[in-house]
Amino acid sequence: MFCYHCGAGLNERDFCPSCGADVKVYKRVLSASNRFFNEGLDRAKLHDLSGAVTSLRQSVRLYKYNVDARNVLGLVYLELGETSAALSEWVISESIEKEHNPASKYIGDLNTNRNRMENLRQAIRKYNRALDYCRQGSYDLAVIQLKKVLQLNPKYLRARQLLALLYLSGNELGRAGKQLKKCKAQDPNNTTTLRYMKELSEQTLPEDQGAQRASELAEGVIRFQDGNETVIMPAGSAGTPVEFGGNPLTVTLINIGIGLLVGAAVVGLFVLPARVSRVRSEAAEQYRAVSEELDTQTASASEQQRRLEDLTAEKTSLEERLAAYESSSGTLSSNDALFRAASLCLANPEDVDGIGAALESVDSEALGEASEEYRALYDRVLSGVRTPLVEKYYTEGYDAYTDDDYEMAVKQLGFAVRYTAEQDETYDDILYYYADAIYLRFRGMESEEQSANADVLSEAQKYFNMVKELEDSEYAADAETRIQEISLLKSQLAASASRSGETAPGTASGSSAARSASGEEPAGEEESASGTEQNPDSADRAGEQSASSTEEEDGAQAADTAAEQAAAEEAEQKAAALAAADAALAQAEANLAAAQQGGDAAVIAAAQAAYDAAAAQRSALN
Amino acid sequence: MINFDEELKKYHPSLEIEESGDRLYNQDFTDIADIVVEMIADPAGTGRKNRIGSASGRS
Repeated sequence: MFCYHCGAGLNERDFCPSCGADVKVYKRVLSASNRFFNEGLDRAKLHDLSGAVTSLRQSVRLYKYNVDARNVLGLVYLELGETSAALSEWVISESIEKEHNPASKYIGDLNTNRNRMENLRQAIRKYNRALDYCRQGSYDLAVIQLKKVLQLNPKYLRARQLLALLYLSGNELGRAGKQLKKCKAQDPNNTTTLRYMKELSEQTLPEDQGAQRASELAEGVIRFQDGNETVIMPAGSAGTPVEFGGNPLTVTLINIGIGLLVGAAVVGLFVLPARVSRVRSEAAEQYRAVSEELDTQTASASEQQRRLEDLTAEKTSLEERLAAYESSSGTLSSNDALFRAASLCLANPEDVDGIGAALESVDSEALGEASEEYRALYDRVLSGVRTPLVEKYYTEGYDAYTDDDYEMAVKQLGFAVRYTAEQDETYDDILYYYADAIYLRFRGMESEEQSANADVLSEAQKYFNMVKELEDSEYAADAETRIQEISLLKSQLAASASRSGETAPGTASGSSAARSASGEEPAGEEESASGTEQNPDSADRAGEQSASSTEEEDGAQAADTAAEQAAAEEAEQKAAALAAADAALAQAEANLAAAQQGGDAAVIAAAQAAYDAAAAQRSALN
Repeated sequence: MINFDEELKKYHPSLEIEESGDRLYNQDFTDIADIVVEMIADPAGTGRKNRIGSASGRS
C-alpha cells in the first residue's frame, strides 16, 4: 500500500510516515478490496463464475486500481462469453499498470486470433439482434439467431439463458432443459439458471397435474409434454424416462437383453446361412478340384501304363533282334568269324586249318547281300587258302561219302562247294558228290522226315543241273538220272501228301509248307519210292505224273498260302538281319578303334575293311 | 412462475467491442477509496480541501 497523498509506502500505522496523512480508513478500504479479490479468485477457481464476478466487481469498486482483480475479472467475463466486458477490464488494467501486466498478453492473444475475434464480434451482434426480435415478438427468429450465437461463441451464457427462456415460454421443455443443463455445467451457481431450472421442473411436474399423474400411474400410463408433442407411454416400460419412475438398471439390462436377442436373430438369419453357404460352396469347389486332379492323375497313370506296355513290347522286340544278332548264326558271330579269319591270315597265311575253321562260321548266304568291302575282305582272306581248303574239304567229304556217312559228306562237301571255283579240276566232282550226298541222305530218311525235308531235293536237283550243264563232265549222265529220280520222288511225295490232306511239294516255297504239314505217312509211299529208285523208266514216271496232276492243282493252292506265310517269315528274318547288321557295325567300329590304338597298320587296315563292310552291309539291308 | 416479459427486460444489449472504448472514456471510475480520500480532505463537505487531504498522488 501507498499513501494516497504522497505515494510513499505505508506501514502498520494509521498515518503516512512521509506526509502524515490519515490513512486508517484508506487502508481499510484497500484491505477490503483485497479480501474481495481473494474471494473472487477462490470462486473462480471453483468455477463459480457468477460468484467470482460479484466478488471481483466489489473489489474494484472499493479500489479501482486493483490490477489483479481486474485481470481475473476479465478472465471470468471471457469465460462467461462477455467479450467486451473482458476487454474493458484488461484495457483498464493495462492503463493502470503498463509493465509486467498479464492484461497485455490477454489482449494480444485475442487480437492475434482474428478468426476467433470476428466470431466473437458476430456473436455479440446476433445476440443484440435476437433481443430485438424478442422485443418485437418474433420469438422464432430470436431462437434462430441465438442458435447461431451459440455456434459462434458456445460460452455465451446469457445467450444460452435467453434461448432457454424462449424454449420455456414456448413450452419446449425438453430443449429448455437441454440448454439449462449446459448452463449449469458452465456456471453451477448462476441464479438465473437455477430459477429457470426450477421453472422447468415445475412445468414438467406441475402441482395441479399431480393428481392426474397419480391416476395415470395407477392405470399404467404416463403422459408428459415434449415440446409441442404430448407423449403417452406405459408406466414402468423400458423406454420410461428416469424421472417418471423407471428403474435405470432394469431398463439397461432389458435393453441389453433385447439387443443380444436381436443380434442373435440377425446372425442366425443372415450371417450363419451365408457363412454355411460359403463353406459349402468352398467344399464343393475343393471336391471338384480334387476330382479333376484325380481324373488327371488317372489319365496320366493310364498313359504311363500304356507307355510302359509299349516300351516293354519294344524292349522285347529289341531283345529278340539283339538275340538274333548275337546268336551263333547271327551277323555278329559271322563278322567275328571273318575278323578272326583275317587275323589268322595276317598272323600266319599258312594256317589253313585255323583259317578254314574261322571261315566256316562266316555266313556265306549273306555274302550275296553283303557290301563290296565285306566280300572283298572275305575274298582276300579266302584267296590265300582257297585251294588247300577245297582240297581238304573235298577229300574229307568224299571219304565220308564212300563210307556212306552222308551227313558228314554233305557238310564237308558243302564247304568244298562254297570255296570251289569253276576253274578247279575237281569242280564237277565236288558238285556231283555234294548233290548226290544230299540225295542219298534224303533217301536214307524216314518217311516222316522226308516229308518234312522235301525241299532238300530241290537243292540236290539244283546241283545236279549244274553238273549236267557242264561241258565235258563225266557226271552229266548220272546227274540226268538223278534229276529224273528226284522229280519222280517229288511227285510221289506230293501225292502222298495230298492223300493225307497235307500240302504237296510243288515249288521251293511249297516245300517249306510241306515241312510244316503234319507228318502223317501216306500209304504205299515208301514202296512206290523204292520202286521208282529201282526202275527209273520214263513211261512209268509219266503215268504216275498224270495220275497226280489233280493232286498237284490242289497242292498249288496250298502253296499260295504257304507262300504268304513264307513272305511273312522272310520279312521277320529281314528285320532280324537289320538288327544284326546294326550290331555288327557297332562291333566293327569298336574293333577299328582297338586296332588304331594297337598301332599295327595291317590290323588297322583289316579292321577298317571290316568296318566298311559292315557299314555297307547295313546300308544294303536298308 | 417466471414472467417472461419481466425476465426479458433483464437482458440488455451487449456492448460491441468497438463501442467499449468510448464507454471506458465516459465511465465514472470513482471508487470507495476516492470517496474516503475526499472525505478526509473535506470532512465537512464544504468544498474546501485540507492541505494534507489532497486526492492527488495516488498510485
